[in-house]
Amino acid sequence: MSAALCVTRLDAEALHATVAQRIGSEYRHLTTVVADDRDTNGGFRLDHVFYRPGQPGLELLRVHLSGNRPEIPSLVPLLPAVHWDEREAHDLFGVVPLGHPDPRRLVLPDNWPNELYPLRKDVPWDIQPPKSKGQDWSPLVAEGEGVVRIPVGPVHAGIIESGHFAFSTMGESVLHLDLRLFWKHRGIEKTLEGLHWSDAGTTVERTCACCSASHQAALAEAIEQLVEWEIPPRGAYLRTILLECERLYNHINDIAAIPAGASYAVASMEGTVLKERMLRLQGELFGHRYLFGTIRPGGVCRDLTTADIDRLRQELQQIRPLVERLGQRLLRHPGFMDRAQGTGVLSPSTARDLGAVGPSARASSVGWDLRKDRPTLAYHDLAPEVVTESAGDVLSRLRVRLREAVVSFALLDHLLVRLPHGPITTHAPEGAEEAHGIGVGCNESPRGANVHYLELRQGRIWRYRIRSASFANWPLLAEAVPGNLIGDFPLINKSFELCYACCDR
Amino acid sequence: MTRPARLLRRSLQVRHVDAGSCNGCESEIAALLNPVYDAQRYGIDIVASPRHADVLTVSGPVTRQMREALQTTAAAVGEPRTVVSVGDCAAGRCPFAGSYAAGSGVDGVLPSDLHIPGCPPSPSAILEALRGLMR
Ligand code: SF4
Repeated sequence: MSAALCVTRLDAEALHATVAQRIGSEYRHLTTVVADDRDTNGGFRLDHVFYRPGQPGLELLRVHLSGNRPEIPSLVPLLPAVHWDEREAHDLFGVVPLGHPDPRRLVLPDNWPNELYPLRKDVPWDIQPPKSKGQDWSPLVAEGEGVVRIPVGPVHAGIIESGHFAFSTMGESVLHLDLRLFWKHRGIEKTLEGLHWSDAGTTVERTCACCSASHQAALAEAIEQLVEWEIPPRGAYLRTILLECERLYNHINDIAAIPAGASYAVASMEGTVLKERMLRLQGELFGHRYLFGTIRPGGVCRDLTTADIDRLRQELQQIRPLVERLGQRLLRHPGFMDRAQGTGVLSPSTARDLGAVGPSARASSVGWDLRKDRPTLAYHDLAPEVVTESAGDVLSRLRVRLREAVVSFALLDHLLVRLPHGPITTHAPEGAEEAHGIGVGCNESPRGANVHYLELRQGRIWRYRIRSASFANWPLLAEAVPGNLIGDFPLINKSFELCYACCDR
Repeated sequence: MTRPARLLRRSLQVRHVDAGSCNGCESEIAALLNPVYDAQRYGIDIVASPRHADVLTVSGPVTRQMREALQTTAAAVGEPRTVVSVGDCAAGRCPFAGSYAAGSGVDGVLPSDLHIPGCPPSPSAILEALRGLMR
């Protein structure tokens, strides 16, 4: 186990008190992972991973759950952010969260048999159980005279990822929204099991195209931490450049998508052109429009020549004023402002309690950003300003992205000017091939904290869990929508702009 | 291959279904509507209902949970219809194809008439393939 991780072993009774103590001491929850250890110690392992801003190390609060029918009192009353993690652990491992306020199925398909837990080691990766009644997923709805239910999806009207929304409405107002996601669950984590760590990249980067660099960087960090692998300064800077390019094109995408949700087509089209320009630039300089195959453990896959650096700087210098102009166009448009202001409010306390991350948290005064709170790579040298807004509405989420885009432009220019000389990658340290143990990689993806938990046995993956920013943030949407007009849903949804693929895996 | 487009050389109405993609293929299909590619100038448009579509594009390996939704959507497209699978996942060529949840491509769920390879295929490649249906 590397020095970066500290494991605190607890029994189930002590867990609540310890978590309460950690939350009281400003620790923040990163991820919750269950693993099947029945072969070595007759039970399951539950790790709640925490970090404390300003400290590089992570703490794993570990509970051993013995036997084949593990149960543990739900942590949700104390730490609501784990409500989906616990439901997922129930679906995939059969770990029952006692007293969970909403124990419905979350991840598995509707026609999946009950009590078949696909991430247990005795269930084959390619099992195709016949259709079964499974657990009936019924939406939580509002009831009463005049309440109308509107089911939407999984197939949507536009080119949108698949997911289901169950609205309860009264007239034009939404009373309640329930989500059924995980239509795109592909079993990525189980697919990774058994692979050597050096072969994991092509799978991990396909978790989500829009957050691909972030996923690759989290995988790389987990391995580098586990085997104590120091990456060269140029590699660290180039990796930071990739992460910031990813943030920038995603923010531009979102800045374009928000006016689309308000039927302001001209502004939206202007934004899509800028996104295309970023994607082309990435394709040209990094070899892939969505940055697949750019980051691997030990460094990065491709260097930038001096000419590339000039080209990237010049292009970014040209794109920057265009993004700023688009921002001005939106903020000065009375019709757009009328739609965006006061719409889809997420209160700071809800954001904090539910563990919101990324721009959606920062737009509700929750100034969490792993680039500052737990800096890695070049963020040690160049900590970016953390942007916050306080109203928590569509406009605030737009403003955060506009301001963060400006910060990223400046950061990228600094990184490109100060790019250290030297190699872009190094060889793995001795023994890495056969490495054994746990590593946790996390970074601030465009949508917030992206956390990868990796466990190796003799160099091969035993357990992998991805807790993406979208997994953390989807439940917030259900909090921000009620009380608004149903017609404002696309706008509110786009202001969160969450990935389904990242969440569903 | 069913080619409704032979009858409708100047108009191709496309309905898209994401059957478990990583969103890369969606992002490139969506790019067809930006002013750079502007597929509408060729008479190609993305429509909101399968009932309005000539062509159904599908991305992703067709997950267990999306299988039925894809079949229902396809059945709602009027005949003659053309099914186009977009991206390597849709051809069953992705690392997770065959897992307990992922499915193994569009074939086997729906007969597809055309496949556009790539991970993801570029917007130009998608546009070219769709225009090919109109020739
Ligand atoms: S083919 Fe590639 S880009 Fe398309 S959905 Fe699959 S992994 Fe994503």
